[in-house]
Amino acid sequence: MKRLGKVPTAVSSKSCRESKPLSHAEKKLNCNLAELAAVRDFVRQACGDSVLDQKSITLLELALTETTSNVIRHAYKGRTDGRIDISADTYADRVVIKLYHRGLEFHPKPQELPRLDVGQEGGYGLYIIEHSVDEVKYLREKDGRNCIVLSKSRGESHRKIGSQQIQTRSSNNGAEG
Amino acid sequence: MELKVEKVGDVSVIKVPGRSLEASNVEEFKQDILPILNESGRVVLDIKNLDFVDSSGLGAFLSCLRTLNERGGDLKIAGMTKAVRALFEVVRMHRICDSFDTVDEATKAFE
Repeated sequence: MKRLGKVPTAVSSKSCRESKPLSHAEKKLNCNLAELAAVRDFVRQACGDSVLDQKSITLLELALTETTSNVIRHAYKGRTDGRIDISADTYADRVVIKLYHRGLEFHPKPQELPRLDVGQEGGYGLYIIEHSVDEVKYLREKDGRNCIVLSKSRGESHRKIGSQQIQTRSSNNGAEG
Repeated sequence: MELKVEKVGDVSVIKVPGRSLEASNVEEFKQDILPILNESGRVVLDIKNLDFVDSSGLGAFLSCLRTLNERGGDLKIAGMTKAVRALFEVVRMHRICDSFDTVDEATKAFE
């Protein structure tokens, strides 16, 4: 995992939504469910010095595990040659995790609370993702790379879910999936 | 997956090994627990070793519950860690399955 190091944490209240993170970490994954434990390790390490409490970190782990599992099984349809790149940026008030992949594009609708008593064993992942973090975004870059953004803030905040097509960024993390 | 079973009266206490129950190992769990469920009516799943359960693991628990309910039995869960409790709270698992801090409390709940 590449870390760029930390910036001093003294920031003004006006700049709580500043674009420059306090710390940044990245990890490249193989397209294999065996990587899920490594995904959780990544979240714990990246969030270790963040503003998030333990429960929030746990929920972020859960959301990223579900997201990664969905990408492996559905976006890449079980292909083992797909690449997944994840990054984590910590800010004064939140942690933002991004998962990049070149599998099938997916833009889910907001999910309702699942009924667990109807004999359905699966299909809970999207609801869990949506309700474990404060914001989920499904983005598509112009070069075809997909980006799923999970944001977890300190304290209570509104859940948001959205998707959009964005311009290809001029800088990237060198990931090709 | 080695599942250890202990009988407490007519309750089967199944200790779930490993640190996680997730997409990568859930099929093995479901395969190995099914014969035990078919021999049991009242089951306590001892999950205190599990640091993490994802939606696949949740589905496996629901599968266990359904298998037992179909035969008039029931499932209780014991020893949730904070991480597993966080998942259960998100999906409100308490609405259909009772959970307890200890195996002892869970087995007594069947009385």
